[in-house]
Amino acid sequence: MKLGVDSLDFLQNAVRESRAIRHMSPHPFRNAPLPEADELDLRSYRGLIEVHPADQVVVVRAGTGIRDLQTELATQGQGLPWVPGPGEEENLDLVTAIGMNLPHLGMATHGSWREWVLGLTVVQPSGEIVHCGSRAVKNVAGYDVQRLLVGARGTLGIIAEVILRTCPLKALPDVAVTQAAQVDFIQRTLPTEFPSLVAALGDAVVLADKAASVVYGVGEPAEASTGWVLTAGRYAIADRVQAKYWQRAKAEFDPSGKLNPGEVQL
Amino acid sequence: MDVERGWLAELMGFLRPDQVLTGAAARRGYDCDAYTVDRFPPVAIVLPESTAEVAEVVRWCNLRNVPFTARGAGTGLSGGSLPALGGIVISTKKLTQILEIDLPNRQMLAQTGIANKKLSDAVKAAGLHFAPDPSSQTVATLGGNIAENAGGPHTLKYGVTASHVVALTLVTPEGDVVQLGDRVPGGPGLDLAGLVIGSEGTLGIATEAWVTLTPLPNHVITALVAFGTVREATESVAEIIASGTIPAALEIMDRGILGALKAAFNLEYPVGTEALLLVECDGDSAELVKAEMATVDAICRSQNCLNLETAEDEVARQKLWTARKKGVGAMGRLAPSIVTHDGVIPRSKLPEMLDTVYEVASRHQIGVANIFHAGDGNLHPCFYFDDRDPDQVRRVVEAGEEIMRRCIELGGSITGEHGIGVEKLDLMGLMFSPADLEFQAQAKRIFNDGALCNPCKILPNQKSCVEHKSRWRGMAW
Repeated sequence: MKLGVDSLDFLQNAVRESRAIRHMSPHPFRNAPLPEADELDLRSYRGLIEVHPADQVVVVRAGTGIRDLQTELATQGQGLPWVPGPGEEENLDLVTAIGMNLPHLGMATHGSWREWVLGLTVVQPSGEIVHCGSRAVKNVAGYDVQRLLVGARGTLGIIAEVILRTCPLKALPDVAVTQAAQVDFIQRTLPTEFPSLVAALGDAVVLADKAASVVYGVGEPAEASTGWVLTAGRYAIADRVQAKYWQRAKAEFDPSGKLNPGEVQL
Repeated sequence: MDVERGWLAELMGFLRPDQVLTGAAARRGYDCDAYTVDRFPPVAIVLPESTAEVAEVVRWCNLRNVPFTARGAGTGLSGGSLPALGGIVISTKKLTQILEIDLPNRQMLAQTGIANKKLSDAVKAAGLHFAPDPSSQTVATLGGNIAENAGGPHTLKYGVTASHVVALTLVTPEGDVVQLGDRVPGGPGLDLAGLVIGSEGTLGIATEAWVTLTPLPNHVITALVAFGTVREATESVAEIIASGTIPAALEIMDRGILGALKAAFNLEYPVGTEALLLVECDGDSAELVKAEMATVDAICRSQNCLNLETAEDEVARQKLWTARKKGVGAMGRLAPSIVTHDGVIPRSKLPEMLDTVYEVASRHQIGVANIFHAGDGNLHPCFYFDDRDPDQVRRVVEAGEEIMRRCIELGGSITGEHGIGVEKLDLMGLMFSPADLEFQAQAKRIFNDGALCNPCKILPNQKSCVEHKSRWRGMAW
C-alpha cells in the first residue's frame, strides 16, 4: 500500500497499523524496495514550523525539499550550507538526505548533517513520538540520539521533524552547483591519498572535490587503503564492528524489523 | 576487607603494585571530581598503561561484578567521574602518549590521558592546534573532553569536541576493544563514535583517539569592550550573531566577576563598567578579520559602550584575555561556596535570560556573578553563598531550578558543556518526557545494558541503580 503522509497524526497511525514500512524517497544509493512493505511518502509532510534567523535555527517538517527550504530561508537571510553533488536531486527531501547522511560539495568548509541536525522528532515503530536534542546550538544533555539517526537509513525510527542549524547567506559555501550527471559512486579518502585515487579512477571521475578529498564517479570505485565508498544500489555493511552494533541498535529501536526492511544488509 | 584484599591480589596479578592504589589518602583524592557536592571513595584506583591493560581490568570487573568509572584529570563539573558504590576508578593518568602525528592530513593519534593543551603544544610549530579549549585545558584530558563533549571559548566558531575527534579506540563495558569512526569522516553508516562522544564514560572507556588539527589563524584581533549595563552587552552579542558575523569567541563577564578580579588580582576596569564583552575575530585574511571587527565595533558603539580596546599582537591580546581567564579562579574570594550553572538558551534570548538570572537571584537573596560563552548562548551563572547554612542552600537550589526551567521554556538546554553526571540527573525530566528518556536509554543499551560501566549517571531512575545519597542537587561546584 502506498500512503502520502500530510500530518504527524496520520504518520503515527500509519506506523502503528503497518507491519512493514518503507519510507524515504527513492534514491540511486538506496537498496531496492521490498514489495511486501507499505510505502510511506513523507513529501506531503513539508514546510517550516519555526524560523529563528537571529539564532540561525529552523524547525522544519522532514518531508520538505531542500531547494524549497533554501528558498524559504533565503527570505530570512539564511540558508543551509548544502551544495548538491553531481546527479543529486536538488529538491531531495530532508528525511532522505539526513537518513542517508548524503555527502555534498560544501563538506570541506561547512561540515554536514551530523553537525547541522540539532534535534529531531521521531516516530518509533510503536507509533510513539519522541524528541531528542534542542534548539540550542550547544547542548550536551543526555545521549546524542539525533547523531545516531543521521545515516541510520531510517532503520531506527522515522524522522518526522528536524531542528537544523542554518547559516547566514553571506557565509554559505562558495561552490557552484554542478550540472546534473550520472553518478555511480561517491568515494572519499585522506588528502594525501586523493591524487592517487583520482589517477587510479581516470575517466571514471565525474567530479573531484579536492577540498574534501571526495570523488564522484561512474562505473566502479578504485581500491583505496583509507576512506569510504557510497555505491549505487547496494548498501551492505562489511565492517564487523558496524554490523554488530547496528544489529544491537536494531534490536533496541526496532526489534520487529518494521522500518525500512532490506535497506541495510548486515 | 577480606574481599577487598582478595580483589587486590587478583588485580595485582596483571598490574604492577604501583598501578593499584588503595590507601586512604588516594581513595580520598579520587572520591569526587570538580563537582564536590557528592563524594564516595572508590575501593581502589587502577592506573593502566595501555588499551590492553584497560581491557583486562574491565574484563576482571565483569568477572567479579565490580562497578568501574573512568577518570581523567577530575576537572568535570557534574560528577561524571564520581566513583560508584563499591566500585573502582580506572584512571587514564598513565595513558599520555602521542602515538602518531600526521601533519599532511592534519590529524594526530593520542592516548586519552594526555592533557588537552599538550595536543596543541605538540603541533604549534607546524601552525596547527586542537581546537576545543575548555578553561581547564592545561590539565583536562582528551578522554575527559571526549566523555563530556567539551567546549570552550573558541567553540563558537570551531565547534565542540565531537567535531574534532574522527575515530577512537573504545574498551567496551564488556572489556572488548573496538575501533569506532573513521579517519576519513562523513561516511555512510551509524555514527557510533558520535554517540560515544559526550556519553560521560557510560558507554565504555576511550583509550586512544584520532583528532583533527586545525590551522592556527594568520590574523587575530581581540577586543575588550566595557558597557554601562549588562543588557547593552547582551544586546550587542545578539546583534553581532544576527548580523551573520561569527567571531572566534564572544565572552561576557559581569560586575560580580569584575569585583572578584579586583579583590583577587587588583584588576581595574573603566569606571561605571557593569559588563565586559571579550570579542575575538580571526582568519587567514587580514582584510576580512578587520572587516569583521569593524562590524563588531559599530554594533558595540551603537549600544553605547563605554570603552573599546583592541589588540593584535600576542602579548597585548593575552592581557585582554586576563579577566576571562582569571575570572573563575577569582571567585573564590566571594564566598565559601560557589555553584556554577551551565544552562543554554537560543542566542537571541540572551538579554531576556540575563534579566531573569538577576531577578531570580535577587528574589532568593543570593549573590550571583556571570562569566560565560555569550556567543553560544551558554550561561554560567555562579551563585556564591555559605553551604553551612541550610537555608542558603535551599534558596540556591530553588533559584537554580528556576533558571533551568526558564532555559528549557526558551527552547534551550540544562547543560551546554558540563554534562549531566549526577548533578543534573533530577533535571533531565524537566527537559525530556519519559518516552524521550527511554529513547535515550535504548541508545545507551546498544553499548551498555549492564550496571557496571559508570552506573547511575545521565539517565534518572535507572533500574538496579543504587544512587549515592546526595547532599543536595541541581548545581555544580
